Amino acid sequence: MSHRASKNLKNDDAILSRREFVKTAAKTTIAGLIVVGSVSGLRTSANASENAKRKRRFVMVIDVNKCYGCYACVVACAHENNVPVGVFRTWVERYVKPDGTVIYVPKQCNHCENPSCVDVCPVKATYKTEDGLVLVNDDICIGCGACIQNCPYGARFLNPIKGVADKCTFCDHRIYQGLLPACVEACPTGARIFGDIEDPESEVSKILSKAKTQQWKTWTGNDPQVYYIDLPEEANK
Amino acid sequence: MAVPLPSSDVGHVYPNELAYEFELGGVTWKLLIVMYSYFIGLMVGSLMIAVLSYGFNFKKYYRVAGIAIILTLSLLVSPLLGWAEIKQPQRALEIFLRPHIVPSEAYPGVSPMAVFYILYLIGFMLIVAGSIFAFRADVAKRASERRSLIYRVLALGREYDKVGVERDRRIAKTLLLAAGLVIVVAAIVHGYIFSSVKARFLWSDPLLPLHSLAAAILSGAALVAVAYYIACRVSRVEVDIEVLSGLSWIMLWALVALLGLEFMSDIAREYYRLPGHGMEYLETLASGLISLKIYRLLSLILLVALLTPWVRRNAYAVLAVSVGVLLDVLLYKWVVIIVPQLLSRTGEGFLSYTPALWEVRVIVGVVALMALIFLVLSLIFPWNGYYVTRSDELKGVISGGER
Repeated sequence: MSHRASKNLKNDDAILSRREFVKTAAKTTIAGLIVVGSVSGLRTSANASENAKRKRRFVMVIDVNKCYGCYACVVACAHENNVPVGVFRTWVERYVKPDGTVIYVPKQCNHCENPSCVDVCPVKATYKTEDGLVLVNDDICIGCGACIQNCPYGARFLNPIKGVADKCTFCDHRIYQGLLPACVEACPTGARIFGDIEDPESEVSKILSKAKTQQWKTWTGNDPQVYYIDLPEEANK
Repeated sequence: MAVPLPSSDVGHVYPNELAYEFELGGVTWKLLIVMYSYFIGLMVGSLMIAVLSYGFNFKKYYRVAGIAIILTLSLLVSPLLGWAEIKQPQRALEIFLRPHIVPSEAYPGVSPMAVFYILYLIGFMLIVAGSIFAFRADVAKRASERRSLIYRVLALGREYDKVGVERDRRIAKTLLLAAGLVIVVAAIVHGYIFSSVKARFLWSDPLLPLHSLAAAILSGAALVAVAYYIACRVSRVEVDIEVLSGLSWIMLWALVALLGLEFMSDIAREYYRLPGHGMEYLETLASGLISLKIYRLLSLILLVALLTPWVRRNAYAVLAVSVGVLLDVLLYKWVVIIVPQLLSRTGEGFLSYTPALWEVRVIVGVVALMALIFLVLSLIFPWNGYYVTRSDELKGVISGGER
């Protein structure tokens, strides 16, 4: 065998071994992807089954007739959650009817069932909890503003101090201690009612089963979980 | 700090929308995002020109294939503008690390922004790899001639021979075709970042991703034409009017597609208009915007110019039209990104926006970086199309490539 032929043979061996290596690597990669995909799928199924047996779903009912615009909820929220000046986790809108009647409508994050803000987050910093709260993980948020853009209610803002997206949390640090959200506790007229809609004995369940309520901007398909009693037409924008 | 109070003509806006007045702007995504989207479009467009030549063997564009790919490489840093806009830039890599593909109860959706960046990263790698193979034969030739360290490193051990040239050409073709496909999908997803925002009346347009792609190809062809003309003048190489004519045809088709799609969007918006969804305020907003008027007028002028055969055969006229197109697409990006944010989510109020000086500084810095990369790459790589990998003369003869 000539030197050249031997070199070619060596090259062929090298090519063959390389080909074998590539084949093995491809098989391993495909197998790995299948395993990872299955595990992810199982994880998703597990989450879905947890959702099916969800025990709680926190909602809020706001009776517009009872609000007289004292802004105690806005102040209590800012105080409780250290909300910077100029941005609001909750606010109260004021409308004047042609006959001079003044209507006050408190507004905040609606903790939607289908939150459009969660879908667009590129780092999955904003998420929905098992109890239906829509929250933001301050340690992951990159402050890109995608969720702020995609909230039809203007309920989100960039916290000028923390540099992350911020919004109402239904005072999750309070409700899991058995307390009410700060705005609910501060409301002197009981215009805000908070509770678990899955519990038939809760006040919100009783109100929602009896009273006619409205949701804000239903056309978005977000299914807001803040229900209004007598929400005026002009405030539903 | 005084809290800015709305003037009487603001209308009904949400208080958190006014919060952005603190940063001299009533919008969330500002000038940096406009420029970022613009440069991404330029990158996509110039890559398309390179793919036409390397991938689909359009001989008309051989002369600009090199400069198109160098432009693409220098524009790959465009996401720096988006990176400068986010408030926590040190966490930007989380986009690639967080779960995206399999939706769960906690994270039900798939973010278009994340999908764009994942595709962009893949496209980035394919473009860089494809560029190395596209230029490697020339680099290997220069390495053998000049004994320069940089060319020896860039040749990656390849000797300059016919087999190597042919193999590199095939690899470059495959890689750049794949890059083109990935980047086109990425450009469409980039448009979908805006069109998926249902809270903005003007962004809720399923045709917006296609507008974005048409604008990208339009601006990319114009940029390649301008860069080619300038490079020819600087290098004292004769300008090939056939190349500029070919690029003006691409510009014409892309402009027709863009204007046609906009027209269809307007018809659809009119068809689906609902009372109380801000349409009246939208019309008030549109009628008062000088940028929108200039954009429409300029588009019309450019369309007429590109339809004129004389313009497509004259180098100076093509250059002027290309500069006009670059300005027109910049205005388009402003109209598409800033204007919809000037209408409040209530649909009954207006916001204002004035670019801040720091934004302009960031843009100048990133453009300077792009120019630097372009200069360095155009000094290293042969830009003018007379090079071995792409030249027609190399079908049989290798040594006749470089002039």
